[in-house]
Amino acid sequence: MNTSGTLLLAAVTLLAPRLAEACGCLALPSPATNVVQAGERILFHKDGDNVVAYIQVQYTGDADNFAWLVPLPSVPTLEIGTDELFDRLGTTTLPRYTLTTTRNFCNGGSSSTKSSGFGCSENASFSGGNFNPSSSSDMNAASADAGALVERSSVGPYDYAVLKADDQSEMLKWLNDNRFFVPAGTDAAIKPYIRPGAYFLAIKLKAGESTGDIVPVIVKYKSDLPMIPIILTQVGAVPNMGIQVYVLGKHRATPRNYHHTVLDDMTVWLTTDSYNGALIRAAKEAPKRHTFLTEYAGPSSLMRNVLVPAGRFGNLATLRAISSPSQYLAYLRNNTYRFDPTLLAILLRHLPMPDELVQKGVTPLQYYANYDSFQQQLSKDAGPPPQVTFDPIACTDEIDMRIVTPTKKTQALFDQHPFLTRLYTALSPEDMTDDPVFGENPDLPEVPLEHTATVTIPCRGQSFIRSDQGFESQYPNLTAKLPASARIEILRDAGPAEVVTDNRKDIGDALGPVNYGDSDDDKQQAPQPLKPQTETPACGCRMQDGSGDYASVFLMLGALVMVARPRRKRPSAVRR
Amino acid sequence: MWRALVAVTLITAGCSSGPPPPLTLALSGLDSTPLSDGQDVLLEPGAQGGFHVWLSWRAEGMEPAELQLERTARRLSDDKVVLRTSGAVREPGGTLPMFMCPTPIGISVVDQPIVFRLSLADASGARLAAGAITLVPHCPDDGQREFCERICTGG
Repeated sequence: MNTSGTLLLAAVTLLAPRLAEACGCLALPSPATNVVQAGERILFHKDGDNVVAYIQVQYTGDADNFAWLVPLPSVPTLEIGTDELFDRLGTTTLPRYTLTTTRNFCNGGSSSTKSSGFGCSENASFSGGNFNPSSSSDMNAASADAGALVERSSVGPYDYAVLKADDQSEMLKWLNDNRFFVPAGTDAAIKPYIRPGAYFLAIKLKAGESTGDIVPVIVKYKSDLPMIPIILTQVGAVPNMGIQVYVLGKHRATPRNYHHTVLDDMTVWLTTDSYNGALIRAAKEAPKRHTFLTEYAGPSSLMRNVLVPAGRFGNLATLRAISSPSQYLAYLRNNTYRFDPTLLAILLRHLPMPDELVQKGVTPLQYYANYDSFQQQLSKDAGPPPQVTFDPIACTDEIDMRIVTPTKKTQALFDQHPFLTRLYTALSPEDMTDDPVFGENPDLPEVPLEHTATVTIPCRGQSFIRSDQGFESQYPNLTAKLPASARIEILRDAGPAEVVTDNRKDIGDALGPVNYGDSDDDKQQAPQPLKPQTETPACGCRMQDGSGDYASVFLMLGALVMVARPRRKRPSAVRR
Repeated sequence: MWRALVAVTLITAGCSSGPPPPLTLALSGLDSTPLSDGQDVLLEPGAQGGFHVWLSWRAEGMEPAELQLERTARRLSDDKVVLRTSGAVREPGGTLPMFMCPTPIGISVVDQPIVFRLSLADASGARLAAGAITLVPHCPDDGQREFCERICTGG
């Protein structure tokens, strides 16, 4: 594997270790090949009678082995999206956990410190591959004798085919004949989707493309409600595969045929569970292990100007006129173009890296980010480099087509749809028995990103914590055996949540009685009686980029440090 | 007892030049096949492994404009919501799949009278017309029956 590939795999693996295939099936070249998909995220929205799904496949493996099947109710239209959508969505809608530590001094004073939120790095270190510039769909109608084939075409780095799904054997034969490989087990898994009038979309990378060219696919098809064909996903899925779903609409999105779980935040504040571990545990506690957690539900304005802030991308006419590679790259940097795999692949094509640097292991990102330095180094080593032929018009046209226009179009989604819901679940193959469908409920409350708790360090005695879910406990309390779910409920298309399991009493029992310690102002500081906050849904806490596990530990350590700080001696004059 | 057909009429708000003609919304089956209240209908295999009931609608008197078409399906026996969705329309009619299955948890639609309601509203949310019909969906008698009964019974 080359350096580029290695870097890409590393980046993908680090960024989305628990995101998973969630829509369709990654087809493998042979039954013996291991599953190598790293993850997938989906954004749904309605457009008239159509459902539009932005699907980000995260795949690690050889490009030749990449193929992907999606069952659809109608012939879809296909476009290419932008990786940046999910990266920005992931960071912007990430739940934020803030722990405030209040120290009550024995002289009557107090101080507070706050350790908040989880950082989240962006993926700036991808490296690109050999991207084919074709981003327009070459619509080749199927010939009359094509059997299952309805349409075969290409878009961006992909070849795709739309196949009739009314005859399973005919469809599978076509896939095999045309090197859209089908893994063992697919025969059984696709049965629910085989019917007259149904279709399959099969996608693979074009010959010569690399996995660095895998970009989100936008699939638009006629349907009432968004659905994830998870039954098909069980082919090759790994245990506890995470599924991240975003839904844009008028109201809060609900899992129609899956339960809904409100995470017990005390597992986040108190236990050594990783965030992901807590979520997986919560998912396992639901009936049939079918549940989604809402991590955010609120105004989509959260994403306004996030993808395209004012002035981003500069002026394309200006860019087209810059013939100096150095100045061209500087213009890209100054106008906040993102040096992601898509841009790097375009640059590699229009402004190739010198072989000498490739052989030395310099990555495309390093090269284009430090172009002037590398040019100076090359001149010093071997005299003036040969004149570089650079066509800024062709390069800019491709940047416009592949990056600027799709990004602006995606940004506009958040103006068109007022509400954004972020949902998460984890499923193992044996639990992928029902395709989750999503509805909307205007009667449900929003789910905020912010989660808070306060640790109080009394003048004398043990510290205690109170969470915004209304629970309290001595702190730390590593021995409590806590359920991961505060509540398991059913969300309908209308009306309030129907609670199926309420673990509040069990959680309270597990946390045990709280001794609030002793301080001069106990009266003021003592917590009020526990009041369940049933109208304020909690949400999961999970780092979308995989750093959540570390974040939780970090937060806990920070809090423990506060607890362990030596107490200030109380002046005898004020001792009671 | 079930009454034959289907149309409910509401009248738009008036304007200074006199009231506009009433907007009437009528419902029918696929290809505008007439439907009657209480009629048995097939749960048609559809969206990505789901099942739905086809409904056609036509608004008489609808002038070219973007209106909101709200669609609901409720189980007659207990008024439980099976479907609630809405979208913009510009044409005065069309055929839509009413999404039934997978059904919401605990709600079966198989052999159950379901009340389908469609209503048109303007940009301010004022309802201009509505239509309703009660239909009784059944699973198909073919290879899809077992799968249909599994995902359409709220299990």
